[in-house]
Amino acid sequence: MSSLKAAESGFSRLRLPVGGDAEIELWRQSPLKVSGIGDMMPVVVAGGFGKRMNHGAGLALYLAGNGFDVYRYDTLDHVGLSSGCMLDFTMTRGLLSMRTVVDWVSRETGSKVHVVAGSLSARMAYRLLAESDVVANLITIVGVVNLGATLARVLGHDYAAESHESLPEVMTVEGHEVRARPFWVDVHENKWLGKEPCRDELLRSHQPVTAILAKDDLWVDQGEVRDVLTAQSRRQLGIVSLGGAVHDLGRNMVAARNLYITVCSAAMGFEGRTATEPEEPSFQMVVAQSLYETRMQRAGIAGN
Amino acid sequence: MMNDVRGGIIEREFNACGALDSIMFSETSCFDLSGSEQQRMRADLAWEAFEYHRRACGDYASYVERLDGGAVSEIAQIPVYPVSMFKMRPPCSADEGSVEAWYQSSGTSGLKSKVPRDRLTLQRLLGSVRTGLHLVDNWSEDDLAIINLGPELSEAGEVWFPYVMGLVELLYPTVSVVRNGKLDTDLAIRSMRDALDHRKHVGLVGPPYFVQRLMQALAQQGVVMSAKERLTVLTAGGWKRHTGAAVARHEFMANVLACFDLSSPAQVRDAFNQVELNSVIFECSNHQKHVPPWVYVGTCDPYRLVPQDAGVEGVLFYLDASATSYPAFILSDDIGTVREGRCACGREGLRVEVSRRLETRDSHGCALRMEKLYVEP
Repeated sequence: MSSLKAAESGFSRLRLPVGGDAEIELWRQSPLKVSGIGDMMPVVVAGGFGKRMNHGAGLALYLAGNGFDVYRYDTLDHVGLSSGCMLDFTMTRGLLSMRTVVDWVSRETGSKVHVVAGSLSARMAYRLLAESDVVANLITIVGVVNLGATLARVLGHDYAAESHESLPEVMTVEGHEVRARPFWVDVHENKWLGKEPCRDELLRSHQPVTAILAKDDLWVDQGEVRDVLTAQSRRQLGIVSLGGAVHDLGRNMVAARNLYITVCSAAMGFEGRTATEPEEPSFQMVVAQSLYETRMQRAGIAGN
Repeated sequence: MMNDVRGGIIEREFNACGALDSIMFSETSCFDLSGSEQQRMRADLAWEAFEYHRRACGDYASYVERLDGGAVSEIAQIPVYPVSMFKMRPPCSADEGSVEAWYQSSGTSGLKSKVPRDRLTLQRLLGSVRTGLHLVDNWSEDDLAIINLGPELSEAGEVWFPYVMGLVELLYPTVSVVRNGKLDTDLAIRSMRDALDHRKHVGLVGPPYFVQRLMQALAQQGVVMSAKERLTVLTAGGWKRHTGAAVARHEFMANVLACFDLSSPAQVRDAFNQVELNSVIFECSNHQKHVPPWVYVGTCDPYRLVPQDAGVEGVLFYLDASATSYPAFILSDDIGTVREGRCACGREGLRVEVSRRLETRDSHGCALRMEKLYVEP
């Protein structure tokens, strides 16, 4: 089948040193369409907790198909191809990964960047928004704004409210084991819990934000997202609510397709391309790219 | 879609998917719903699909008019196409531009069925596979290694059955062991051993005859593979061989259990699909094929083509609401029985048992096509 071909030519892999022996694996998908668009800022995509880069193959292809230079990475101390393992995951290591990638992409391209962040990564991105002068704008996908509340819903138990001593050795989050005590120390010491720190960070930032919500999301309260976002009324804000969708948007291929179109529209809107409808790659192309990346990710894991 | 501006925030709301997709891609299995819930969904989705294809497909609308003057009062009366229609004049409900590919049946000679599929139809095919696998087990991506006794997707082309098998790689790590058009049993054996050595559960997927070929190769090499509870054999593609002989299910089951030293017959399952049908129908541990709630299956009397009650053997017909690019309302070439009520596995809902093929001049199956392509010299 001639159309069953991955976009290998525009795809490349890089390793970014972070300090010590640690490295972040970065995948770049260069634009598949360049004529008649002009210069656009690159996009950095940060996947949600427990997601690997290849889970973002479809989104990257949609963005690249609409002229964006797209970068993805696996977070340090997380599943995927970057250094470290999931047991040692903390929010602050996640933020370090995001900041490292965003700064590197900005330096390499000489441009500010769009950031697209899913679920837990969105919480990190709200902080980065306040700290970084190279993030031009932010698109969140089922983005967490109140970490404590979301964790309590996911785990069915509010570990954050417990004392350090009473914590278990490991907690299982979405099927992944994470050391509970270092995680607990990090979220308390670095003020990741509650929606107030997130609101404060948004008050200190000015960049446009588009929040994409899933109407049937059991883990992120849509009212809280609105509360946090509206704290700073001077920015350009957009909220898109996807009916019939749940938190794990990637699970539903049909909802995911609409998500990709929505993200492309938002990113194109930030570039002033509001009159243009996003173009879609064929299903065969998305399948081929997903297989190509999944094989690479699986081979990398087998080799670790 | 709804647009609103509240306090300077631009708010937009739209449905990212319909009812069928919410059921199909749900985190909970649709097979765990009560029989009455499934029945209600099935009826709603069948009527919706009927009205949609009547509007979107001129050929189908004319067909409905010619058959019944357009009057259809019960689901079982929704007009179905004989599968031969897909060989002569395939119906299409989509614009030519939105058709991703025309998938071919497995005919070895003569005319082949050709079925147009758009993006949504293909997404739902994959959704039906993922949902159906819930009946087999609930493996995570990292737990399972698939050995696909077929070609990988890029080699499968537009031949339907190998294409569907190849799609499984999107869900689980997969080694496809038909290489350069030939079944490589050595590669299959090495891959199975490697997966078992790495403490993975192995999913062996392929037509029954291919599994037999693999077992013959194991016997010839004197290889003993004691997989116990860590292997599931999932067959599909039909039980008839290229030579005309049929692979006997009971004998096959006994051979597989002995060859791989499996712990339970529940580790050997079968699945059903044909190119004109957009959903794959899987077996539960009790070896009953559970029909997902977006598919209606019935039987009709082979002489008068009148719908029959559940439990009466007849010609199987399907109303598959998951296809948007063509009316997947088909009268099959299979004889079988539909059952309702609670299965011994504990689940409720519709089940289908495919007994045998109607003997037609051009009778053939997907496994047969693969055998001709990839095994016979």
